[in-house]
Amino acid sequence: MTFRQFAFRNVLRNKRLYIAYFLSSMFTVMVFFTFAIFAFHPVFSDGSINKNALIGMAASGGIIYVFSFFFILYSMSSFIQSRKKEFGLLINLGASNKQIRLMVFLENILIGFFSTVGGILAGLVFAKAILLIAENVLIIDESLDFYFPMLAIMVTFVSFILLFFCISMFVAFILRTNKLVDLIKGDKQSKGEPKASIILSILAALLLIAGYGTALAVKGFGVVIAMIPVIIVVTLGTYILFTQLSVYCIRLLKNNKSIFWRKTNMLFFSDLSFRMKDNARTFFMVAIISTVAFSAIGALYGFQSYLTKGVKEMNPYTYTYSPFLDDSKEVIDNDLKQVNAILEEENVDAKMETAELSYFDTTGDFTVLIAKASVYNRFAALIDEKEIHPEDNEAIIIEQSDAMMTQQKASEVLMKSGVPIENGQEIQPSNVIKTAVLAEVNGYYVVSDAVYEQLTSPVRTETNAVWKVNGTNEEQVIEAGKKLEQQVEHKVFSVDYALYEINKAYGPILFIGLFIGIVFFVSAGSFLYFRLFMDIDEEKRKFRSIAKIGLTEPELKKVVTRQIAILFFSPIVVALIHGAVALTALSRLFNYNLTAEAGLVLGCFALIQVIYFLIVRFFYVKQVEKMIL
Amino acid sequence: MLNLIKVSKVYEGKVAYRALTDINLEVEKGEFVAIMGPSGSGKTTLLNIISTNDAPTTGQVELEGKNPHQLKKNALAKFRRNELGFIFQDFNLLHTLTVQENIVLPLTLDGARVSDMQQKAQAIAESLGIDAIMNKRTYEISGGQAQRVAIARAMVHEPKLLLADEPTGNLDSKASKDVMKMLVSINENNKTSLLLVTHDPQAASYSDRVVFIRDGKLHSEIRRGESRQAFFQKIIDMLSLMGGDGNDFSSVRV
Repeated sequence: MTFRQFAFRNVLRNKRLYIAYFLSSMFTVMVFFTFAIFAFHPVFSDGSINKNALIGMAASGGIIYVFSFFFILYSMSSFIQSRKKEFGLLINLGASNKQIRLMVFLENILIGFFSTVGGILAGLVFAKAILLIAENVLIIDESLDFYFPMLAIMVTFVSFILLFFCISMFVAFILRTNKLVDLIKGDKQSKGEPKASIILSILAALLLIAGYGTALAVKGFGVVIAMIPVIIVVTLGTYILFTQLSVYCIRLLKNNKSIFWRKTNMLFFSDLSFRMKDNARTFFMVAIISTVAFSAIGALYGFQSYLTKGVKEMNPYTYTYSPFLDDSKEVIDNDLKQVNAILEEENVDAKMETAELSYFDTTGDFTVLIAKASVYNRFAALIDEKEIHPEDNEAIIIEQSDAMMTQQKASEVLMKSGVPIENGQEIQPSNVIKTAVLAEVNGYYVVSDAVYEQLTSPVRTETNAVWKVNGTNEEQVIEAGKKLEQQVEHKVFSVDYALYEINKAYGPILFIGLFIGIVFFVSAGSFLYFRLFMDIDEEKRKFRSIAKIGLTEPELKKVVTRQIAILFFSPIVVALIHGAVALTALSRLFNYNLTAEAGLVLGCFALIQVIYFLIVRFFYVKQVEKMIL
Repeated sequence: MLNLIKVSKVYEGKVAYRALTDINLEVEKGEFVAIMGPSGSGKTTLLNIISTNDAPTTGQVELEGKNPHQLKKNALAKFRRNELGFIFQDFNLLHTLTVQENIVLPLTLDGARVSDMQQKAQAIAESLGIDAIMNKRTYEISGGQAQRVAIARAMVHEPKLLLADEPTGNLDSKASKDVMKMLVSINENNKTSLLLVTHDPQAASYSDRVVFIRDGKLHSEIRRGESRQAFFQKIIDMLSLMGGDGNDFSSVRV
């Protein structure tokens, strides 16, 4: 047996030990490869998609690659950590440092090769799925057919073989072999708790409070300026939180015998403090990576909803026609005829309402739209809103719903002023209704028809026409919208067509963002998985020795569940809080309420994490139980 | 108090292997019994069956008239925790815990009061001479100390039956002697029944009775007379009778 054979056999005959590392490497390759399949799709290369999207994709490919590098480096170093004892044995038998390094290098090359090939094969299986998803998220005219991704295979293969080669060199180079006795005792000696100082613990709290405070306090463009310092402060705070504050808390708990010595608590806490140094590092990394994923996805989703929801709410009608100020009656009539002709041609069944809308001066120094109740009710009926019937002595204020956070609410401005009528009297506004009828951003008054006749002469009058489509399919509506906007230029606005255009432009960004966010989140999950399974042999041994003394199944489950729960939820909870703060700051930047979107995104991630936790717990408990029976 | 009736154990597999055949064994309350035999004779299997870690294929185990093997899994775990004490060759201490925490572990799992636990641990540690190392971690103490900690852990809940599997296997002769003397004093003072599995005739000579098994069957047994020295000689003789030379079995001589 030559040394090379020894190194290879060491891997091939010891699959169980290497499987976690192998799988995570394979997963990384697979992620990169699926992305490459998508990015190198022939549809994109013929120049039909815009340049910016292509640059974006190349950049994201780069990000995934760099991230893969660090991810694999981390997996590998934690994997090597768990094999201290084996190295100790080899050195004991007379292996030189050089040989150990050679062995590590050969092992990594072997695993790297197989995980690259495996990742590409696994990626091919998911290729069709990813293309289907991409096709639906991206609004592109061509369909993304399955193709044999020769270029993607080549690029992935070459870049990952190169990556594994570099990492193997790197790891072999930095591999430090400590004193022999430490290596052999390796797994029995605690790496110790990091030193916990009260000052640093308080500092952690202060940093986080300061970071959060700033992020929540700044508004508008200040968010952009404050972003970098806040990120640095919060990251530092998080690090100290996990390395100091958590250690400090556990120490307090351990010193309290009535808690620490209560039933299974002892097993649980002693283990936590035993692994604190490793755990703190993992917690920190997972928290930060998850925060990035949450914020990125939350921001993209929020931004999309900012673009689309606003447009949708402001425009309840399918098509809106508003002529230029100097258009004559004939032009307008002509336009309307043309619109109706196009709608008929496209088989779009729409109801039309038109009205003359007049703007008046108010007592409060500004010009505002005042509408007759009958006009309002006609438009309201079109979109199934309630009719209103103002009394002769009242004016009802109508304002848009509050999705848009404007400087000052329209109702507040209008409430202060009154509606003057001919005889010098003034009608005071009574109540406020929130609805999008008549779509006027600055709000307006509705008065009864009788009062309307008594109003002073209007400042200006506009003709408005709206159409509401019922039950025609969406594609036709969009198609008609496109024609209308082209033929009756700048006067007709079609909501559905506008949304279609927005989504089309925004699709690639959203897709890439989602993809990267999910990659980050999944790898955060696999960091946790590593952390857990790196110590599983140790744990099994521990539980077996306790089981010999007598440990019931519920007790075992309780200890294991709590251990995994701490591991899985403490970094995620921190990340969720970070993410929530980040998204709040973002909503301040855009002046747009993101609560629902942020809640949905963070809620989804929390749910995924719970499911992941349950799955991992199930398998972990099963493995440990198998060992002790 | 412990009664084994026709206990057999067959390991299933491609080739079934009969590890124990019709073992009958009775241990009185307060008795100290050693089980000896060559490697592979079934000593550890027997101990595992008595300790309820393994179930017999046929036959019955009775502890104070009850058969623990009929208990449900969780009840069995509680039974082990409350009625039995274990001492292992490799000590089986948890290295994430300190010495004191290791000692109180069985009580902790049972939810005892902290002050009680502390008192009991202190008392037993003093009697075993380990009270000075209570706050050390397990990798900071020697093998002899570790085994004493293990004994303390096995005794802290005052079990009815103490089971020791090669307790001196990892210790030098001096530490072995100390450990055996401790076991004898526990046996005498607390009237705890003790079952010891060992290779070491020196360790076995501290018992009241040695049972020899070979190839999964009871071979013979000898009782201790007045002198431990003579008993030791008898054990050596019996071992050499069972096969091999008299000096094959132990390098430890008095």
